[in-house]
Amino acid sequence: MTADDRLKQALGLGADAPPTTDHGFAARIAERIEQRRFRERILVLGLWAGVAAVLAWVLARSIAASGLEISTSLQPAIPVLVLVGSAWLLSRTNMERLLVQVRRGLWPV
Amino acid sequence: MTQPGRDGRTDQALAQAARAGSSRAFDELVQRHQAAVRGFLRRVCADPAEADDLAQEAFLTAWSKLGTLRPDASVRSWLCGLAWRKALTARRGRARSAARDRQWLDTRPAFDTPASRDQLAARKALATLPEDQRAVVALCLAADWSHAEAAEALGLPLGTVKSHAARGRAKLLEALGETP
Repeated sequence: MTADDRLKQALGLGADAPPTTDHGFAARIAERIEQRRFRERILVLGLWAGVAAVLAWVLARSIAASGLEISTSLQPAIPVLVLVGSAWLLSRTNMERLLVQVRRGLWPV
Repeated sequence: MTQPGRDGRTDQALAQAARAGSSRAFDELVQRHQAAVRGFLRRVCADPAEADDLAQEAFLTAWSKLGTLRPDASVRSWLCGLAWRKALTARRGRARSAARDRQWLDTRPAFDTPASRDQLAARKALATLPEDQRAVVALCLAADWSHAEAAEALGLPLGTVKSHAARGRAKLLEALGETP
């Protein structure tokens, strides 16, 4: 055995060597990535909710300032607008995936 | 690795798919390279648990930085480079790490065989090497990486890698009682 062979053998990890395939390790990383995705999604949704709240506040003030008595005339249309808006939002969302992400965010494995 | 793996796709193709949002593609990249990254970190950190934690952090960073991977780069080198930077950050934050590593080596159960004595001597000598030299030894001498690939991973000039490898080899052989 040459000196380099001996050195190579001494540098081996032996029992400490990681397995060639480790599904547990890969699963832990996948789990952490999903949690990070969930947090990023919540952050984006929170930002959009903030922007929407500011817009609604500005809109409400401008409508109030205009002095128009439109609230009574719009009242019958509100439920219809809410239903249409909700249906549009639901059609754009993968509910199953969203629920899985909520579960993983709240109760990580 | 630029050769196709089990699923027939190259590392770059998998990285591209992962960048587009494929969790399965990233999982395949983790499976392909986890042994190389963890093996490298176990040699430079000494503590296997700490090495695995750093490997997880490195893969998470890789996932969030997939956009920075150059199309001509080796994914394995890129991942080990990220892992090396994680290890450096972790070590620099702890002044007593070297002493702790040596203590950990001393507390390991020793099996009195020539091979185990060599292994312990090599690990102790490895722990005393400067950080860059230790990383080069871990990649080039222990894992058979080329000097060019190690230079790419560690962000060091090729000449520096070659001299680190030569000096590291000499010190380790000396620790084993061999003439360099």
